[in-house]
Amino acid sequence: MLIKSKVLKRFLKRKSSLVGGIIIIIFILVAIFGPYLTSRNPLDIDLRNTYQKPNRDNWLGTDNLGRDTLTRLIYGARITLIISFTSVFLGTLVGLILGVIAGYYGGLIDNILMRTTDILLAFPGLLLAIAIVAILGSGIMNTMLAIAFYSIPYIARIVRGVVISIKGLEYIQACEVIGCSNFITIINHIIPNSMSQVIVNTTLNLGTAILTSSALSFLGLGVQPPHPEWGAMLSTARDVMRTTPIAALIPGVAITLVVLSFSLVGDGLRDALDPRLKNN
Amino acid sequence: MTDTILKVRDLKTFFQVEEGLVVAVDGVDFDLSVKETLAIVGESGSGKSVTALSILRLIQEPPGKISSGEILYQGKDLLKLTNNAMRRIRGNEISMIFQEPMSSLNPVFTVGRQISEVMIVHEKISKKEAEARAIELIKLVGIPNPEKCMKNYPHQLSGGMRQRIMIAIALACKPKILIADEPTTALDVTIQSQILKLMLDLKNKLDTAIIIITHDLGVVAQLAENIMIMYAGRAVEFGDARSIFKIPLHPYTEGLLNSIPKIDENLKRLKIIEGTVPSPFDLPKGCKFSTRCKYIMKVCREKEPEYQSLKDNRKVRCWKYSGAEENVG
Amino acid sequence: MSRYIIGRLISIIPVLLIVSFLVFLMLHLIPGDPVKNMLGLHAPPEAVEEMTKRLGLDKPLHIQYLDFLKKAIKGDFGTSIRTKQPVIKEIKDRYPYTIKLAIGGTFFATIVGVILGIISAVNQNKLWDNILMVLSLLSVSTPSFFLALLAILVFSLYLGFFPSIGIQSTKHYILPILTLGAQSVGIMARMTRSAMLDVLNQDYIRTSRAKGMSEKLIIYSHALKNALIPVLTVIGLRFGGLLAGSALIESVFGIRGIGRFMVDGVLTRDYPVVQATVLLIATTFIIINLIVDLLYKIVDPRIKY
Repeated sequence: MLIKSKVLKRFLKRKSSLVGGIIIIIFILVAIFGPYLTSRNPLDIDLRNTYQKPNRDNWLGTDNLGRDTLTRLIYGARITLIISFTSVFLGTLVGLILGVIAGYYGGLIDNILMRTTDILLAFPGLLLAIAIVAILGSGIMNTMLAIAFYSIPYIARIVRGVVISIKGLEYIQACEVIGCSNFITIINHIIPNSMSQVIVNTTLNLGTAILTSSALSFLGLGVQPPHPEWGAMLSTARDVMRTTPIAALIPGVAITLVVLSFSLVGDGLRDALDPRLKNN
Repeated sequence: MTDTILKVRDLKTFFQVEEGLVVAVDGVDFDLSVKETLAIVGESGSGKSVTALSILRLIQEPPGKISSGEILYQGKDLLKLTNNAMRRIRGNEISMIFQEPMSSLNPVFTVGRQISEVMIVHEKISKKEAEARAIELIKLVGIPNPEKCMKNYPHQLSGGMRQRIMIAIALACKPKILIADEPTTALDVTIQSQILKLMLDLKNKLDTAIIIITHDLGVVAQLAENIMIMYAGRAVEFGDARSIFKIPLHPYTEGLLNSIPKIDENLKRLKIIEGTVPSPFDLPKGCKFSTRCKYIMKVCREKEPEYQSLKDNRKVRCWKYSGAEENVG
Repeated sequence: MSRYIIGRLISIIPVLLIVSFLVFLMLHLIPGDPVKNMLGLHAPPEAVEEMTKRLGLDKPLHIQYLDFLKKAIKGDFGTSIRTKQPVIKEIKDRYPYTIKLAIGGTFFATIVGVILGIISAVNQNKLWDNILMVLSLLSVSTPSFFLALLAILVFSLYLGFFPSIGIQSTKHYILPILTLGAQSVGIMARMTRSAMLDVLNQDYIRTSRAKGMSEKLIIYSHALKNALIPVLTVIGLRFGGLLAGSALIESVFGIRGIGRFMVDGVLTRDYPVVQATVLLIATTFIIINLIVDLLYKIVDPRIKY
């Protein structure tokens, strides 16, 4: 408890991280409860009312099909939240398991797993995501899988490193000498020892996941219309840049703000959890 | 006595860390004469390295800061110099070698460049001239095949070799003072004495005064004329090496000397100083050594003793000797 | 040195083989019959059979892979299903645009990022450091396609400084390169800052100070050369990121590059195009990383041949 309050104190001391944290909380609340606050439907088309500038009825204007931008933005938050959290959770889980296996068993398994991550890392992230979409097809589900997949190798490497360093500790080796199962011991040690790195990495990955999913949707490879994904909204809006630039500004600013907040929180968490890493 | 080249008065250096304020050096005074070899002795955390770094103003600020005192080099206060003037002193008139020869040389530059650049900067000579002198210096510090060594990178040399290179760099501009911060601690025992002998030879050749910082009394015995003992950021005893080894005044010095195992003594176990160095955040109120002293008196816990001068140019910070000069042997 | 280069060249061959195998496998990992996916579910059986033969899908897997590899080495990636043109011909036209964008973006990001990183490190925790670090986080967090749209809006539509679309002249390259590299500026700045701070705490920097070197010389020569070693790795990685990311920029600026070609291929299930472009981008990335590895040797003498 003492440690936790110290971490929290250090975290709260950084104003930028605090602001980021508040924005993320608002984002999550909007994603969860937003749809209950508006009676409008993000898919309702009103062709007499297209490309409206912000007005009393449509606070943020309307898009090419006369759909209310604010409503779409709110529903888009929900899609963004689901995609980023699910994909990062999946990727972290699989990465964690593979990292433990590689680090614990070592030898051939470790070699195969690590060479595989080498190969995966040989593909730039977005390229890997595009290739996976090329195989699986577009859509929310496949976008999540694509993003989950490419975050696996990073987590696996971090966890593997931690497992190996724990294995080298004297008391773990002593444990082996007296014949007790050290697998359980190691598992018990991995959580506290790798948690700060995994938490920081996961937070930063959430930002990356949002960037990637919006990029895929922008290209037409991710979430498909008419779903109000922010990247897809931006893609629709680019045709009317000259006349209604606000249609592009709104989803763009939303993506940037949320990703920035995750970065700020990730940075703040890293400094708070491990002050020694401050400069890295 | 001889000419004083360096006078340190009431030097105070502190570090502001997350846990609070650490006063690493608290009111240290000492003099250094031309050609003298002074050893500053103490445990880790006693402030001896910080004292050395403070002289050259190499304390990282923040978190460190030299808060008060005077460092008079040939009469001028180094603490009052501009950064540029101070830079012209470093490596030129006062130079320094460090404990870790493995990490003290820049890994991406050749040894030759690292030696010559100090002469190029301070003596404004050409690169060619500097390189010729660098070869001479490498020869001087006893490395065979100096031309080849010039082109080597630090990682291609052993620890002892690197320390010789550090010495070459430090002596390149014929400084008046050489500060050596634990120069042999990281080296093998056989290499240690070679390096010490080299330093002594060069000192005699170049008439350099040396301040050697160490926790190793063996090093002191080989090298030093005078000794200053430090404890918890304070100087606790000063005197010439012979008298201190013969009759240590401060209980701490006595403990240090007793803890060296002697070949002719048949001891069951090593003598140690009881207790541990107090935490810098929780120093005792009176004498800083009072928590470990076997001669402790009531006054020791209440008031810190003065650093007082005794006869034979000795000094001590201990209540045992207050107004009792006649007790000294 | 030449032995080192040859050794490194040989070491990328297995990586290239595995990458090419994965790219080959893509076609077989697609759920359902790839031919029907391409031709549509109601394609006449003769057409399906003809296409299956043309793609060699009736042969055993390992023979198919060897065929694929042999042809790929010769630059034969088959015919685009959509345009009926040989894929290699399209790639030859488009590849230079993408490469120029990625190289330009990497240069821009490296030069600006390293300079900002140094300024930040030297002023650690002071005002400029804080401002630059927030700005660099902002640059990392802004989607490049959004930034590109903003740039078009401001510099092309409102101010009319630059053309908004196409790639006919050098002037056409400016906005795409800047917007492509912008994200990496932040990444490079943060990386340079942390590498510099790490180096500035090293013993050998204290030695340089003790030698009386000027602070300028210490930062720009003694420290920077050491700090560039980790930065170099990031340059290689960023180049890969920009290669893939150019798909977005090409799409915004209407540039006929290889990234957009790949995306169009995915959208129209033009698998020969997808395979060729993915393989080409991955191979380029691997080769760039090889070059970075060789550059290491120049900055870091500790690396053995």
